[in-house]
Amino acid sequence: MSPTPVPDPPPTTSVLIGQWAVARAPAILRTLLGSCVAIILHDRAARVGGMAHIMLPDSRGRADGVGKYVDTAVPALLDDLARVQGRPLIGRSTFSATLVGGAAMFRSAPNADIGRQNLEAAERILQSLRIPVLARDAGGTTGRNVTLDTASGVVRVRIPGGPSYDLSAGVARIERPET
Amino acid sequence: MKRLLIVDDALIMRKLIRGVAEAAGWQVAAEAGDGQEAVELYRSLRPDLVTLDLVMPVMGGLDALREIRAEDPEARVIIVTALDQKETLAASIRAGAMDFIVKPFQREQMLGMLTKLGSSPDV
Amino acid sequence: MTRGDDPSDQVPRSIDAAIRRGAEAASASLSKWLGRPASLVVSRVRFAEVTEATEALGPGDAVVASCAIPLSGPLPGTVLMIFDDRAAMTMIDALIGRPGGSSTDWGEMERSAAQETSNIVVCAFVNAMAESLEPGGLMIPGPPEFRLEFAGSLIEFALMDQASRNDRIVMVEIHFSIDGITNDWAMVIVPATGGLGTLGIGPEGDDPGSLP
Repeated sequence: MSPTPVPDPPPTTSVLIGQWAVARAPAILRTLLGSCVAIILHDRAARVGGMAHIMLPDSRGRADGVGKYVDTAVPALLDDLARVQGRPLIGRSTFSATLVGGAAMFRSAPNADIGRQNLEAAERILQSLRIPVLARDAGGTTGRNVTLDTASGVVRVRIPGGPSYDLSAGVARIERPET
Repeated sequence: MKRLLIVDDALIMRKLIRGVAEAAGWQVAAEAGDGQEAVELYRSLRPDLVTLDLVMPVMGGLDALREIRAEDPEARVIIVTALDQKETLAASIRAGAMDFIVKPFQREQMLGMLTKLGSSPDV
Repeated sequence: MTRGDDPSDQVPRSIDAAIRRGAEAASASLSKWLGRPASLVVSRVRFAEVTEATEALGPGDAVVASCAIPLSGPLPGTVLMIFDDRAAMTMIDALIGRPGGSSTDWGEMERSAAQETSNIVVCAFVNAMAESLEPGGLMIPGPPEFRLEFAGSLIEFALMDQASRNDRIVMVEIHFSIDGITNDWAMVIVPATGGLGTLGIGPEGDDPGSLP
């Protein structure tokens, strides 16, 4: 009896710091976070998803490094998503968001607050675009390895030395730093 | 038996100092992992001698030294630190430390110092 | 030794010398601490794109044992000491005087050994470097924080101050040679933006040679 063929795993695209990527299923998008925030958008029906690895909240008008800043990366991400969806940006409302990251690892670091600022900027811009944030896994003091499966929309997070866990809709897991 | 308070944020360093101290005839009254704990333990135990690290979380050694000396002007404190900086060590002496040992130290050096202090009538 | 890949990526000779003195002093301290010959080898002063920097020490998603030491003074920033488990456990057994193979995971004693080793190495390094840059100058290391963390996340945290202002990151990378212990340890000095001037590196686009 011949063994059941194992399907090839979906291709994985790594999103590096200050960059974004979009893909149509089957595809996995992944990134590694510290104080940066991953803004993850997914369209369940179209099975299209995008991930932006944001470093800073506000471009302050800078024209370069679009992917570094919340205010410039999100529109760029949406443009690319619309292209992949194959229809214009009226389709914005079909996306839902997940926010991951924004940790503060070193208590003593200058600008230890940047993670929280990134998260707040992300929440604000998504609210203004009326994109619902379904789940959050943010704050705390550790890095996160996060993936988006564009087929299922599942966002999976792995923390160092810990198990992987999937974020479900309605989950808000936000750790505030100890003061 | 003369009583010692060991202050260092690294467990391994406290263990190493304890080993030498006991060989030199000291009884380790307690160990502290930061300056605040050090001040509290000094207050409650009044040991005959303290070995004190400088770079520690919560409260550093220099601040702890000042509080201990304010509490007890006769307090005997030896600084044990990796910061081999003239100004830092001078500040410690001005704040009332008796002497200092720079890390990493040879066991013999620490043993010699603690043995001498252990047998000194002043301590 | 301190050239980046691009000939224009250099630090002034005085900085080169200061880094070398730091490495020599730290080598002496580490040898004394471990009770065997050990030396720090300054691999490079790396000038990298932000995107490359997070993979600078190997795969970003590898979990590594590390100690982070904040620096303040004329060279503010963060020093990361990254240990490879096998070599670290061997070192720890030797430090405590336990038979080889006794330490197997990162318990309290093992973590404290990593912290104290980092403390000793970094203090010796910055003392000598500060003295070389400006006699009597002080660089103040803070207490080490031990972490088991993704290598890429560690570097991302450390370089964020520079990355928020510049597209290219400067880091000093140092490796270790320890008699009898093959190791993959690394020490990475990541200055905050305020520390770049101390290293003779101006805002992007400036020729370091033209700095006052």
